[in-house]
Amino acid sequence: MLHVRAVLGRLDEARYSGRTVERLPIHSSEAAKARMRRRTDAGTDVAIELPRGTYLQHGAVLADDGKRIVVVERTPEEAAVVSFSPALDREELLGAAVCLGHAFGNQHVPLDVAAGEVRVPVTTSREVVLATIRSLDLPDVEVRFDSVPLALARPAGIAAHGEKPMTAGFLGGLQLADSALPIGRFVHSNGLEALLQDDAAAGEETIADIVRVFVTECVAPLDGVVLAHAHRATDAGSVERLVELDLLLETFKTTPAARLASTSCGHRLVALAPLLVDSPTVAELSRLVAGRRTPGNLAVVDGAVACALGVDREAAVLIELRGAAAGLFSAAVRLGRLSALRAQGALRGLEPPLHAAAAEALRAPIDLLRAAAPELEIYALRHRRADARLFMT
Amino acid sequence: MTSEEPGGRLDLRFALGSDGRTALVRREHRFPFHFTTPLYLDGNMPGMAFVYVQNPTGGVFGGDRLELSVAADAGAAVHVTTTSATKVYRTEGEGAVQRVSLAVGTGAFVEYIPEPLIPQAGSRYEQDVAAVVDEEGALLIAETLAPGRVAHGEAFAYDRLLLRTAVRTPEADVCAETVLLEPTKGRPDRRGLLGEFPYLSTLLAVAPGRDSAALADALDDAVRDLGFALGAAGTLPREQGALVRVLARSSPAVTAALAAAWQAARMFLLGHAPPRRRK
Repeated sequence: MLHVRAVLGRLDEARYSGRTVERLPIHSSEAAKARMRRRTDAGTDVAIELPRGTYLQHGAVLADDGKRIVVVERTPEEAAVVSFSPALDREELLGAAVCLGHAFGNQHVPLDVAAGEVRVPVTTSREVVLATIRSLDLPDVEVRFDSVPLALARPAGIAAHGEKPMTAGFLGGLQLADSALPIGRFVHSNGLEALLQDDAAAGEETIADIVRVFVTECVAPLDGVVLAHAHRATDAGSVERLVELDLLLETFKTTPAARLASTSCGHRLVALAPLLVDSPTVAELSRLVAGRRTPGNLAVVDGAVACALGVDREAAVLIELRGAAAGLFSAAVRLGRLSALRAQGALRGLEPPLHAAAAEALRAPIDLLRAAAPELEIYALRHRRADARLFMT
Repeated sequence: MTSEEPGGRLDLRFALGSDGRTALVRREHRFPFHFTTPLYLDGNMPGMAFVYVQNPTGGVFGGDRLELSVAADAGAAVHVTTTSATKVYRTEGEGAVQRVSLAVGTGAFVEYIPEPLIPQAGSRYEQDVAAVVDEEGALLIAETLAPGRVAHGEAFAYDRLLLRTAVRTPEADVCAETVLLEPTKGRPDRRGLLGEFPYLSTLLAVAPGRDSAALADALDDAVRDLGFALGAAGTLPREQGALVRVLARSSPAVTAALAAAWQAARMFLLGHAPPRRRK
């Protein structure tokens, strides 16, 4: 029996040329399975035991003894092949494709897009698939049933399905969001204290508006985006990328208050990180921050620690945005401008914009970082030279 | 105009002559840009060249692709401004794009202080300012943004405004700023954003090697108690200079506040006030 514990490479790599190929048929629905036992077309008994999250794509090389290799082969499966009329304009085509993707995505059916056609595996029956497509009332589509190889590579967007228990990282996330986490989040008002001093009439509604602007216009499109990328970099074990992101973020922190709030919290979290997670990437980041080799902005540290804690990217971004909102509400409470009860209600009220801002941050490319809330920024700058103040910024 | 056609272009290079005057040593321009020949307006800095960029079409139209490039060689001193406000017109199709690149040589001094940007109803505009500042060089960049054609009762009626500014030294990035305003998605006059002040002006003073904390304090002193505008200043990342932000309720107020900041930056960096510009 042949034991497979890792994917070695791909069939099209030069190092495998000239080898005898034994094909191991793997159905698309089994491609994400970590453990199974199968036979190759030459009869070799293969026991597969792979790390969670591995995907057996078409052409994956599983064994190599120098003469023969064992290669994953996707056998043809029944699918509805949907093609769109070339007469459709861009807008109609986009609408039709999104509708189709949404309808089957909702049913957790993975789709393939190849040669301008969408392939929908028949996981139920032809009738059900057809009925779903017809109900969408798409303009000018043609549907035929065919036997085609499916999910040759990992389908986009469903990578994490079923790989982790639902609550993995949940407690870690709570810990990151906890106001008891001693990183000094609550000594910063990011300009709110100075603004409220200047505007004695500002009440709950104004404060909620300001918090929303701060989170959606400053934190999400800058720190949120960097955090998502830092999470990804940590997943890939790249400290170099974390440092790059840290330096990039620093250039966007154009006021001393923004830099102070970000790095003072970041430094305290990274110093605390070894007690929370056992990750060589986070440990190395911690060392670089301590040695002043990288600024140590909170979003970068937060993304790295969240990843190491098993908090997924989306949750990590939401925790950061919620933390920024909670911090400002808490400042307003301590300044005596909002009751602690009303603050909780106001925080709940921000849930839809927090979700929308997080979704946007998760999609945003790293070359379109932005942050601008000039009024709040001016107050944060003025705060530095104020006579009496409760908060650091 | 479509994006395949060549866009407007103005490419100016300045060098310090043996007579101590900064001279225009290379020029290239393509419709619609025009510019004045260098004027020498500063009695305290008689060699400094002042150039007025003109756009005789009166503004920026949808689909415009404009490129402005200014390079000041070692020791040169250049001031670039526009003759009037830049109006961005309504567009049904593609928005307008303007790219500005500024190169400040060793020991050179460059000011890029255009008149305000006025994005009109239904306009879309993207601006990208990229600057490189060499050792001992200094750069002032100002950007003033109006809410629209206020005299026509128009405020925040534009579709989209994306303003990006990035400054670096030959070794590293100094600072970057991106402002995205999309009034159809969220009003810019929300509290915290612009609040009750429809006019915004930003002055970036990049001066590697100078005392950035002292520069920031000087700029802050100049704008914090104006009364007619809300302003403040602070240091840039890595001690490379300072940033001033000013908010005001009217065009004259924002212009006066920016002038106060400009004067303070000049006093700190050069030891004398700016001259009156002729407009």
